[in-house]
Amino acid sequence: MPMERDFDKQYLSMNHFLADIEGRAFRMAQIATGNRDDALEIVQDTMMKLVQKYSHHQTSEWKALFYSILNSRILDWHRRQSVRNRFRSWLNWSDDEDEAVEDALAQHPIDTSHEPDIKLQDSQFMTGLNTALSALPLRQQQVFLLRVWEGLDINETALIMQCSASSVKTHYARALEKLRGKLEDYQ
Amino acid sequence: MTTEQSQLETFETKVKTSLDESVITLDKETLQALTSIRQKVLEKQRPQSRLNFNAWNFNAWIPAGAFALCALLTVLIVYSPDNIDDSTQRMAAQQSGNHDQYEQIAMLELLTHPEDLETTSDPDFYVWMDEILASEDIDNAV
Repeated sequence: MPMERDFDKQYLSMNHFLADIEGRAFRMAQIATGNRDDALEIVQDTMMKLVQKYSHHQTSEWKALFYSILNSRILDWHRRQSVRNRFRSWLNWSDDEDEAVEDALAQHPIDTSHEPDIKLQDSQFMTGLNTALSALPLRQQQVFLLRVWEGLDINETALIMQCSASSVKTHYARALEKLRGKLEDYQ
Repeated sequence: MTTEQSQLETFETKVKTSLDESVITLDKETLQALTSIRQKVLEKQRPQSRLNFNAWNFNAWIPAGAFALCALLTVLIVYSPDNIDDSTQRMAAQQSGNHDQYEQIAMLELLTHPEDLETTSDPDFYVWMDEILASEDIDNAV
């Protein structure tokens, strides 16, 4: 009975943790992959691994472990995609999808002819941000999202990304510079 | 705080707010998919020690059950008392040379066969039986 009670307690804690983090994790995966279904699959794999392998760890460690797994899964997805793209290029398939992503920002020009509308501006900023984030190199994108969105410090981010603190600083600075440049008009 | 730092902080806050809003405004279908994934993942982690008949797959036990039933029927058919060869028993008793045992078996056969009950109630039958047994004794002695 005490074992069952411990399990129920852990079950509730894990449920609460995952419910809190799943939306952000999905959006991160979606920005990285540009595909809803792939993003859901990545989130599922991440949750599964966290629950199966690390649920006995302390609750305070779950966040770092979760993002570490998530980033690893996203990296795997990109590797698989690059192999697939190589096959495509061998078969001379046209790659319209990449062009579509690149042009997405250009398809949302700022409409300056109307009175400023906060909601519209926010919507435009969000669209621009999505596109700009998707265009960032993967490492810069991950570092930026972990630092700004999750509010993790440099050392925590370095631990998750399995790189040095100086690399985190460099990735972050470059990401910030690119994003500010691309979103300058939307601010 | 410099103007540059202030602008940077404003930008970061705006990015964070925008990203938070993108989670809040996720479509219903995606939210349901995420909830379903979470519940599925957590359910897999539940211990299976308690007997949960709802989770049992009874169909998986059908072949095993059929095999066990066939084996049981085979054993019953092969080793049923009706199928035991009477002549084998008789020969075994004769070979051993134990007349008492043979006589006992013969009597047992008579009692266990229902069609012979009428003959066993006839006194002439016992006279005939004694004669037969006596003649067999002479044959065995020779």
